[in-house]
Amino acid sequence: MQNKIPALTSDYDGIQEYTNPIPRWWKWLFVGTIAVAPIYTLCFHSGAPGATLVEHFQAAMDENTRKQYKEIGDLVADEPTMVYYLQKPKWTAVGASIFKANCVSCHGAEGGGNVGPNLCDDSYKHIKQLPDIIKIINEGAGAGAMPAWAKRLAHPNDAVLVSVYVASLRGSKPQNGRGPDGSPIAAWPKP
Amino acid sequence: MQLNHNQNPSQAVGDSRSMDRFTYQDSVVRLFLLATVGWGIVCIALGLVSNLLLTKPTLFENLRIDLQPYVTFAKFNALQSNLTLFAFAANAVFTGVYYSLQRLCKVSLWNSAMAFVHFIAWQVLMISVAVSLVQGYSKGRLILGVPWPIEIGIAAVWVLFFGLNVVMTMMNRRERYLYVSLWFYLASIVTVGLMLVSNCIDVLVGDWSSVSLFAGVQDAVRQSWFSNGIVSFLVTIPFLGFVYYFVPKSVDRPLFSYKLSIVHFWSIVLLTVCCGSKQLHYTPVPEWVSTFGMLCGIMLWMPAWAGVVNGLFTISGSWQKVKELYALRFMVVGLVVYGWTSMESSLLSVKGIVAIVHYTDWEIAHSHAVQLGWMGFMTFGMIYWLLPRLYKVRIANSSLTHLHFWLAIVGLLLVVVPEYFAGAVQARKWSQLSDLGRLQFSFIEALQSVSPFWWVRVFGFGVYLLGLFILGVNVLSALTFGPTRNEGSLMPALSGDSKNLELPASASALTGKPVLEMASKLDLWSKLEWHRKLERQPVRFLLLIVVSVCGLSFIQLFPILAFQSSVPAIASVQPYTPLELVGRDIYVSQGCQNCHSQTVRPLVYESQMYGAISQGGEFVYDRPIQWGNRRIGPDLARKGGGVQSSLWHWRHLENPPMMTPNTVMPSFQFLHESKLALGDLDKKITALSELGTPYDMSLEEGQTIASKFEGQAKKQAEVIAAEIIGQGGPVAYQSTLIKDTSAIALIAYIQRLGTDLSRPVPVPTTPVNTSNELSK
Repeated sequence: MQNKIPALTSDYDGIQEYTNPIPRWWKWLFVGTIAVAPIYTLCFHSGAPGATLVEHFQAAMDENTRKQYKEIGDLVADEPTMVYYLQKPKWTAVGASIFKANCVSCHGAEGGGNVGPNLCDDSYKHIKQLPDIIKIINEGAGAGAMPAWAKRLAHPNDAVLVSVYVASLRGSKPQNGRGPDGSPIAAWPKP
Repeated sequence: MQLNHNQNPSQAVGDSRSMDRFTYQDSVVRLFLLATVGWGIVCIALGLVSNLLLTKPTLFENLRIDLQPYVTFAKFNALQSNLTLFAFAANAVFTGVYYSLQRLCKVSLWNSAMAFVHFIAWQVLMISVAVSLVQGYSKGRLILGVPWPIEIGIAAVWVLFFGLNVVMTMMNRRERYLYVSLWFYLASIVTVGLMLVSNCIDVLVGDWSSVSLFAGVQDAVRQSWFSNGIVSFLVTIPFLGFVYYFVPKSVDRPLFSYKLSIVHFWSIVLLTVCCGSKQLHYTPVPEWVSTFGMLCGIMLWMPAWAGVVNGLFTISGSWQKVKELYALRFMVVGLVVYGWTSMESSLLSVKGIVAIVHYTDWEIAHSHAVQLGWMGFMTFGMIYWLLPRLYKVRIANSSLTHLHFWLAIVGLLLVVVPEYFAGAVQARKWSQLSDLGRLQFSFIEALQSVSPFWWVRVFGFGVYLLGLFILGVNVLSALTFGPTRNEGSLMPALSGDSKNLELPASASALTGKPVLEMASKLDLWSKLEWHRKLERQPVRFLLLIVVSVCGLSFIQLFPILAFQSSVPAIASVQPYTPLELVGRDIYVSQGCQNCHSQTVRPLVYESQMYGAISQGGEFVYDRPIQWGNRRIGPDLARKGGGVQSSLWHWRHLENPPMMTPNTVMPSFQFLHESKLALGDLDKKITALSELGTPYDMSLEEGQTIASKFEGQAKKQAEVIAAEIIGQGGPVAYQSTLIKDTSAIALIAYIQRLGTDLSRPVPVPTTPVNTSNELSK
């Protein structure tokens, strides 16, 4: 910087001051950041529909739900549906992600059980056939030890898909699995 | 070795007016300097331990159970963040202000005794802050949530002992004008004073505790204004004053631009006061509130850089000095880091960016860069400048100082860089959705992937701490080898009344020219003559700051604080039950919000991970809010209502890794062993009821407020205990029935969180019944 502008006459404990002008780039960037304010306000706070954060969120959620289920529509919570989707790895994977988000804290990362029962062996507490899984997930069991999920899951399909995933766990070998609870039941029906 | 540093040729030469001889009050500066170094070591050591606890939560598991409550991560973290602000930074501020103030005013301190009282009182207050935070006497605020007597003490010492002394010294000055550093000191004194005083406004409960006057969204807005004000005006504004003093002094060159310093001062002070609500993006505050904070935050970019420009351009041309002088070298690095962090602050006020990085380690990296890089390096530079002058010795071992410089740099980078990476990893893993719109990673998977970064950070704190020890050695050797009695040398200066001399008013070149009178006035105004006049009137300057800071704060806060209608009410939201209140107090005193947030933001991935988005009306009984600003653990806003059973919580509090492998949550087993304490419940509920929380205060025959609400609490504790037992849990824990343990209250509170929206709307006349929704 060329300090061509003379110093002010006073000095402070030996410090003197130049009266250099404010750098031009500084001035214009400052003006630019100030100019953001009216533009932003006009775009997002003028009352135009769809401009608020919550409206953005709702649109994104709708889009997300469409993305999740546009291929399969609304599932029927019955045995044929579950048997059918047990054969579809793409959709058991979706069930797995729901399981990971909500179930692992009690049933273990691999379904081997923790506070909740082991889901990988042949013994079940409240389940005789496939749709019972959906019922238990939706309504809960064991005095709230297993919570009711019907209102907590974003979509009724979620209960069906996570049930399909739980059914698919049967026969897998988790590490440190918990011992059997309840009684053994017949194998799932074949497709 | 004697150094004669106060030679000031331009001062004395050519001024035939009478000379005073006087000394500077440096003893108190030396004391504050020692305190700064001492607290600095304490704070960095606390940072080291708290971050070690994140990588190894079981570090203290073999400690006696009655000591366990004092050694959790949350306690260390709260200590570290509060003491870094109020002990390390504040003592550095006092050191630098008391030193430079006297030189810039050419006068000794107005009242030395006050300064010594200030010193002792402040250190005592800091120790009591530390003790109360460790004990868990917390008001539930992340910054300065300490019991009210300590808060009032801090505010009083700041305003009456520090502030008053500084202003009176300015009044007594021999210099004609107030130098720019002094403006920054004034702004800091005024704003921090305002924040500290406002922080004392509470409603008393019992002898030592109090509840916030404001609740929910209103409390959130007030707290954001407060914490932003405190942090900025304690670790930024006064240190900018130091840039203006110590940098030109060290390079021995004139300041780059007086004009820029005026624009810098006013723009940064006024905008900083306004940008607090940028911390509240996506939380359920009215959207315009956070927009206001964002826009001011963006505007703040250039004002912040004005300090960097004025500092570095002053040095430019004398870079050789940076190589020679350690003091200057530290300050240059500090300025460069400040250039980065201040730009980042502006970026972090943009909503879209906050959506990605808020609650992640990115924000921790930012605040560590400010603390260790800017505030720390400026402090070190200042201390290395002061040591030879205060103790009249050359710094004994310059190779040690050289080592400190590099340890500080390496330490800083090892702390901050891994945190930026960790933040980026967290942000990506939390928000990544699959092709079918599903979360890809669970919270714990994201946590696992950042733990290597956390190890590096621990190492970084160690390196930085080593550097501070070297500073300690340098200070000790100055202390040992410096002259034992040193009251500063006699200083000649202009006599006291020379400051009142009138200078000829400058005239506009346009005066008398054929232009409008307005134009020549405008020309004069732009010559900043008016500001020059202001610089001679400390009281007027002070009042101008007071009026503008208070005015801007009022404009931001009034619309939110004064009108309940700014938060849409939700009919089904009910006050906490007595037991839940006790549980909430445990949550607060354990500092759970150091790791857990309590707001689900309107973002797709967040609502997938944590549940329905939060609404402002849900928090109307939260005094204070526990929204938090980090997610070391998951958000808890929707954890209630049995998402995990009460038995799960019981076991999880006892031994977290058993329920969640790889978790970093420490054990809270001590809550299982401590008795449920319902002592202050009646006072608390009475206070809340006076604040308008609709508790049914009617009493039956023979009932007291205490017996009524304790009865309700015990009844609910029995219900939850029965629930846990029914789910297969124990009846008693080490000979105490589980219904009588503190853990039951905490579980009651957690099970309550976020359940209001699904609750049926109550009939208004029904008395609060604690147990109906929990019956089996």
